[in-house]
Amino acid sequence: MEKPIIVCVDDQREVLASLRRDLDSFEPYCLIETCESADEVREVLADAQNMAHPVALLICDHIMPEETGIDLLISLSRDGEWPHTKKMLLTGLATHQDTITAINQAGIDRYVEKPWDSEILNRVVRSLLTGFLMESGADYQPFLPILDQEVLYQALHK
Amino acid sequence: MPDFYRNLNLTILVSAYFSDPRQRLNLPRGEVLIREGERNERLYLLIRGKLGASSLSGDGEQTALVHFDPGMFLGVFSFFSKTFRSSMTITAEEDCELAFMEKDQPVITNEAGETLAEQFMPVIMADLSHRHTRMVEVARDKERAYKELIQSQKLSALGQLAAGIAHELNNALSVLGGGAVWLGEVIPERLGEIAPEILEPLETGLTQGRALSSREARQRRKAIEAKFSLPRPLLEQLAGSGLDPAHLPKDPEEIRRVMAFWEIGATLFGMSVAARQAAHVVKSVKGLGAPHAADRVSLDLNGTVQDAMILLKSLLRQVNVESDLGDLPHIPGNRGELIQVWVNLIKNAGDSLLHDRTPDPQIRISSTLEGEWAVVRIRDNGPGIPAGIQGEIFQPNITTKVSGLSFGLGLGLPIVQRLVDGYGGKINFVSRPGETVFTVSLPVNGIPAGEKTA
Repeated sequence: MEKPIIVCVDDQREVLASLRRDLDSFEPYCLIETCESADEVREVLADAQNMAHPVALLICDHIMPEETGIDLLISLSRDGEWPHTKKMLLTGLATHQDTITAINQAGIDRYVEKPWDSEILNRVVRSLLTGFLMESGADYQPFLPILDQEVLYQALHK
Repeated sequence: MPDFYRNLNLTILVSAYFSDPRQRLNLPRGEVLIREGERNERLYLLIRGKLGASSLSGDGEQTALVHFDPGMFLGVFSFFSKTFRSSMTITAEEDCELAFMEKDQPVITNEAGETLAEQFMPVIMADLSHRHTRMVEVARDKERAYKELIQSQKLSALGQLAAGIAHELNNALSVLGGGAVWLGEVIPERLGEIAPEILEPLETGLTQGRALSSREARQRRKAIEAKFSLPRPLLEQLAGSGLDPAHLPKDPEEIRRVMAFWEIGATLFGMSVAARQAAHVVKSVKGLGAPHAADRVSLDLNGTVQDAMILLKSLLRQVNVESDLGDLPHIPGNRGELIQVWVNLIKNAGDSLLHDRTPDPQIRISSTLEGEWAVVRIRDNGPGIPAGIQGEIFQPNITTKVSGLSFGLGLGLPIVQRLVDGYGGKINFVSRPGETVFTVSLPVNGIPAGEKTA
């Protein structure tokens, strides 16, 4: 399998850079793409499709000009092109209503608040990646060092 | 003659009961006619002057109730209810002349054979109606005062809270921002001595930050990946840095080492930018607290408009902003307050354009001198303010920002209004789909006398 991709989107470049740094430990096993807008995410996804790279995880800010993160996630889940892709909302400002919409309509898997704790973020990403690999039926062996052992164990003993 | 006696024909009553020169009295200004709770067996008619009635309230304060003008009767209630006790204290507010009748004065029979109460019925009704009207007025005044009080308490509580948080945050931000700036100076100094080859990437990071967008970086990476066989993350970093690969070492390990210093520089740059932005947010939130306490100096109004545009630079990246600032004399003002006015108005325009996804979004900002007024206009081609809330936009808690974009506290325009009022200025707007113009006029000679608000 081609290297799975983690897509990060945030309209603030500095935040994006900091997020990117915190995901360094996944670098040998995944490609990490950063985007500053929802439109750019679509370009990256289209590229990934052309290159047959699976998209494992989308880490998405909510408050962005033009199109909010939740709107993007909803439109992607309606497209149905990325059924196994895990979705994480990483935001400092989402109203109660936004959050409900994100869960019910965009089917987000995790919600992490800004400012995030690097260790927690890593743990969440690890568990989502493991879930993605198990669900998409890929060979997980090469990814063992970055997988969440507990999620893996549970998935294997179902 | 007061309004509520308008329809009454009092001539007959007055000549029948209030024409005896022995039943007249003069009351100098300040004297008390009747005291609350004391016996009063007279019905008075005020001929000349002015009287005020007050009552002792529960907490021992005298509360003013009504005023009496010439032609009005006093003591109607106690006289006709036969309690003969006054429920109010009545004091002369001017020198007064009054006529009166006694309770056992003989009734003068009229053609209809009416009793005294029947003859005075119109007066009694008018008195009741007067009391009723007054009660309603008092209740309305209280209601209004209460609402204003609640509103000002809300704002002042928010202001105090904001000022407290602002203080704490500013301390933290000085440490972070100051620290980033210091590191940006000391690191190149120290490291440059021992490893001069890292200076260029480090300085590039420190001075330019992350100048390329993620899209530009991706395109650049695709362009250079054929020429340089480097690991993908390193390629990405190199592409994003904007550094010329020709200036870098050839060995991938060396490139990695050098790029790390670019990353350090760009991160320090980002940290000091972020600290400055956060300090600005804190400053504008702090303005909620005590906007009038600050000193006013003679300042360049156009400069405050330009400052506001700088502060909003990142928001306005996607908007075409044009400014046409005319010659203005300096006006007395507080820099922070005025910047806050423009920031709020420009930000509102920008938010509505972006939220509406207006094609070709534009904001035009102009300033002109019009007579004694410096006039700033902020015009956008956005969707306009919904007609239904146009009358309320200066009220707190009115916001169109429902989606969680921006702060949407519904506090921006009330604050703007309060600040502009504080300058004796005027703010108004015209809004329809496709064009909204906010006009702020400030007096160039400072606050006109008598218009200063608290």
